[in-house]
Amino acid sequence: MKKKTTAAINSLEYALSQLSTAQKREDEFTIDEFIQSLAAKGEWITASSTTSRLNTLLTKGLLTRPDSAGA
Amino acid sequence: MAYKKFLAAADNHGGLVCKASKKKLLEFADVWKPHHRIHLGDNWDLSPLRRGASSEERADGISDDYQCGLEFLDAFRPNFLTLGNHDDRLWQHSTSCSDGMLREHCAKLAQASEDEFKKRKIAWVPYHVSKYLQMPEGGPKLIHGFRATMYPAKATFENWGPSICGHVHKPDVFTARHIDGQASFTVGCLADIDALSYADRTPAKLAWRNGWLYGIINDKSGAWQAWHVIREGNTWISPMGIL
Repeated sequence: MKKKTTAAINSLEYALSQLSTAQKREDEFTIDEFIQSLAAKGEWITASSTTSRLNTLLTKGLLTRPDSAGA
Repeated sequence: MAYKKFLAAADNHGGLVCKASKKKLLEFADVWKPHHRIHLGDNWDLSPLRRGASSEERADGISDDYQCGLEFLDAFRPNFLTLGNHDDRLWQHSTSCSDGMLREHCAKLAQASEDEFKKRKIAWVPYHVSKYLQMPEGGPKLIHGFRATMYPAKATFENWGPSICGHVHKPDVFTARHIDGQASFTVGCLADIDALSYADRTPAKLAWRNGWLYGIINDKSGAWQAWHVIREGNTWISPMGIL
């Protein structure tokens, strides 16, 4: 199996596990909810770009719920 | 003028493969030595990507299913692959899933899968009513299958003419009442039938069998004939005898 395939499976597994999470804690959100919140503001970005942006926000301590983050 | 041999298998359904059937098929392939190996689709099951899949189904993930599907391709080494409706869940999700994250990751895995086919030199077609493959000599159209009726081979012949397909898990033959002859076949499956629990309340399941199809095709005229190998209980029955 190619490395690219392994990476794609792992990413998809993660996305599926996010969907199957029964109950989210307070202030917890999915990457898709983050993307949707940006889309609602007219900004369309890819999942890869979102992951990068979330990493940056996390590193800088600026990560909050999408509806209150000003994302 | 000479005849070439082909071998067609279908519906192993990834992690739900029947290991005994897979082993028997590979042993048969070693003996039959086909020029053309045909996989008629549903190489994966991909139940977590089913529309309306439960949280539990999604939590199962797809790693094992996907790995088993690739292992099947490596063992059977098909030259031709017609993607099935179960395989198509990945391609469908990559364009029409409402969840953006899932859609993008499905698109990546779909592209990676196409690369895996290319690496293995497998000619393939997507699951689409107008897409089919044929052997270089011509002969039957190779499709996964779309029609699920009591007489699936006849139904398939109505739309595609001479053809070999999977999908229905039921070995079936339709010999055409036609001046040119011709026929259509549907092939048994290679999945563990008991494990395909979604059909437990469907009487059609009673006609499901493990099996595959082998045949010959004339390299000049494209004339062809094929025969089923069918498992009844623990016995594998072929026109050549008990395997």
